[in-house]
Amino acid sequence: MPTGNIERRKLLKLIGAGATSVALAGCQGAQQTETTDGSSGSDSTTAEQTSDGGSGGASNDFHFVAGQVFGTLDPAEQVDYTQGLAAQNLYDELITVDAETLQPTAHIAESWDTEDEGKTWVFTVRDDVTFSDGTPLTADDVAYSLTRMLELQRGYSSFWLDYLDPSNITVRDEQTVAFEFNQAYGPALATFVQFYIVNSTVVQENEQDGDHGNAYLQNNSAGSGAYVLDNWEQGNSIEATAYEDYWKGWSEDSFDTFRSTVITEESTIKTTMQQGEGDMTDQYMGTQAYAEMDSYANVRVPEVPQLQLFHFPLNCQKAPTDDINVRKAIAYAFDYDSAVNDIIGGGGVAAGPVPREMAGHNDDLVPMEQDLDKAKEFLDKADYSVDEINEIGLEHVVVAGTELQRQMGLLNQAGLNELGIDLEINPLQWARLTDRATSAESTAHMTNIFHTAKMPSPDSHTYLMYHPSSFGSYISQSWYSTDEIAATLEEARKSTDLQSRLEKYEEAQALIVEGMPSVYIANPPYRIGINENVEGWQYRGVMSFDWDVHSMTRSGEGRAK
Amino acid sequence: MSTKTSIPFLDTESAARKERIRQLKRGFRTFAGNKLSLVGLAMILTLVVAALLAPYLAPFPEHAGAGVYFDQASEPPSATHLMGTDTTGRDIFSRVLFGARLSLLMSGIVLSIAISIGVTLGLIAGYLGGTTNTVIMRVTDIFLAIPPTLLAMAVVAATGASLFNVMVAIAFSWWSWYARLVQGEVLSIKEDEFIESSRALGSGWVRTTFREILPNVVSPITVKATLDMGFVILVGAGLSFLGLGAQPPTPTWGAMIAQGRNYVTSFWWIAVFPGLAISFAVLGFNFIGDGLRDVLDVEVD
Repeated sequence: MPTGNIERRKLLKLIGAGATSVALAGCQGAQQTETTDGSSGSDSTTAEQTSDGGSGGASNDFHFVAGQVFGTLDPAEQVDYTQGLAAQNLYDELITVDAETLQPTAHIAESWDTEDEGKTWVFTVRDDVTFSDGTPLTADDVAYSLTRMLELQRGYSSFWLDYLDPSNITVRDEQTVAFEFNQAYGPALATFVQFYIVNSTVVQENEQDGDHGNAYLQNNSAGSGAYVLDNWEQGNSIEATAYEDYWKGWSEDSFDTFRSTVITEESTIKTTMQQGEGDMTDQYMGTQAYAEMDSYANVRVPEVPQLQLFHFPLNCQKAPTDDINVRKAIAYAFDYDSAVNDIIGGGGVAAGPVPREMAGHNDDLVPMEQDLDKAKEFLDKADYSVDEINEIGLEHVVVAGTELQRQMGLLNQAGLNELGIDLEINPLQWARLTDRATSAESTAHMTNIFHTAKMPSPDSHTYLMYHPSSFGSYISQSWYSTDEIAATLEEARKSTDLQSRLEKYEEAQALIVEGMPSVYIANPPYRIGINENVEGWQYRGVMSFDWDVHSMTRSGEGRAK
Repeated sequence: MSTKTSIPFLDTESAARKERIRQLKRGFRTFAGNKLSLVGLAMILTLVVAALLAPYLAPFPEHAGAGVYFDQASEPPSATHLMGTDTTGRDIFSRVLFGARLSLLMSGIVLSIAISIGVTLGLIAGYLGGTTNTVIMRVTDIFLAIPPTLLAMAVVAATGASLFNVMVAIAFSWWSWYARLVQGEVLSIKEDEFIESSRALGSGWVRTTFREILPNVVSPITVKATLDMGFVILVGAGLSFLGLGAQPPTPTWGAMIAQGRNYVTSFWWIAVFPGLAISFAVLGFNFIGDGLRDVLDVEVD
């Protein structure tokens, strides 16, 4: 026993001496460990450098650092930005977005026409597109891919489910396919940017128990995209190699391989970029992270206006935010200036649900400003007293882990504190958040939401948010609509003329804002980190479209260090 | 072993008091003989004073509550902000002081719950023996087999993240150590003569365990509790770090480190000072516990 004591005391002394240095060095050490296990790609970087120095066939590798896991690689299921990134590079979409106008433009479909007063859309498919197995892409593949999406009923299939029956998809000839909707469907063209085409022969051959080849597509790609999947470790990385006969052709400096590793720690992402091991980051880190990356000699951070809304949807079907005066009080208590300037660091305060840069934004709407006196006035008019509100307990859900999300919660808390309202900030994982969004009872009083355009149309920021048929998704957490709003949005969808359609959407925005279903905070600028030796990056308006690796090239020798 | 003063008619009152004073003096000398214990005592006294007087000592007491001060965000340590400010401009020194309150409070409450449950079960199991002993000790074994952080995480995940839930969760995973310790102690003294005398005088098992046995197992409990104060702070900070503790803006040390971890390369002070505070508290309690163990002459590990 005495020996035990002495050893213990010696140990304590050692700890005492070491504690300070460990505490100081701990952070640095932890970070290094993360770098090693965070990127399985670091090995291949070394390999690539070796081959660079070797013979003439230098390998040119594109490395995207993703802050979130890849949930699925089936293009019929993709909804979030990493899934979009995979689909964008492994498959081709029927219609794409023009980088200049941010409007729908030809891609796999080289031309199109409407018949029957806008009910039927007829697409002519290019004849020079081949899948990665060499077989040509035909109208049959297009028809099969859309039928597949409608039958799987996942991903963006809700764009068409209510309007298109699989039996109304007809192949007219090898290059022509027609979709007959059950009503005139104005935004149809815009929705097809989220329609990726799969190789019907390969997918049908690999169907298991009627899964439409879903299991097969998780580990294999069967598309006409610029890259072909080599390997997917869920939650960790994807790797793909260029498809030599890609229909858009290749330049000498194009990337031979494309890979993406998942690194969730902001500090590790920054180090990866600083050390010249990554080519591109996503756009969801804290403002400070982009400012810091911009200061690295080998990284540039472009900043462009984007079609995105950051807001707190207020749950209009749950006490006390079911009272419009409480909602108005909350909206007037929020410090918009600080949110835009101190937290987001750019862009502007949002004016209604539709991003200001989007065609169809109602320019009569003015951005909100903090006004505590007004907030108090509305609170006095409300059916709930401050005590009653505190008794119920206002809950603000933020996405766990990111700095920006946390700071928005704190800012809201500070504003409401001025009114005497206690706000509970509840950080949740994304999956839990979307789960809670499925019913009005479980949806929080307010939730931090980034809503990026899913297609180049204001429909994305009106119909998907405030039409009752859209309720139950993370996008529609206000649970707010009126008969008038619903009718206006339906009319907008039926309208075939672009101008009159946009007018309807503008009308709807004015109606929506009257009910104050959301605290519309900002249209954040788009920022990502890009290695200096990557050329050709262009913002495309729709989520993940700017990460089309085929459109980019390497300048200089490898990544800038 | 300490004297058995529990059978009064064998001792005179004054002799007992003298003996107790002598023992205290000897205990203090042993304690003071170990310099580390004194250092520990000083550290913990500092911590307690800091915690008690946090609202008066903190230069910016309002920074522990709801509020954002972006105009002074991420400032390095200076005369105004001894430990710098975090990314929302809050004074880290003030928040560390308020964090000391939460840490000590949490440790205190957790150990009170854990000791109440653990000691009671340990006494009953040790004294009654037989099936009761088997049932209680096997349940204890099951709890001992699960790492405290993991068990606490499971409890918090099921009940929701809050400071109260974290305290319950840690207590829930901590009582088993006391049950095991006390049961062992009881087994070693329950055949002693003074217990038998007590029984011979007709006291029931409840009286015997709580009036005769309990005072004689207090020493190891005290030592273990002192050492555990530090470990509970550590586990609590771990849970807060994972986002399972008190929710923002509550200034718990673990949550502060979690917030600062993205900025270790640029604003090192955000994570480092709360980290040092944790090391300070844990070390202090360890030094004291070590000294106390020498004084009370017990083995708890």
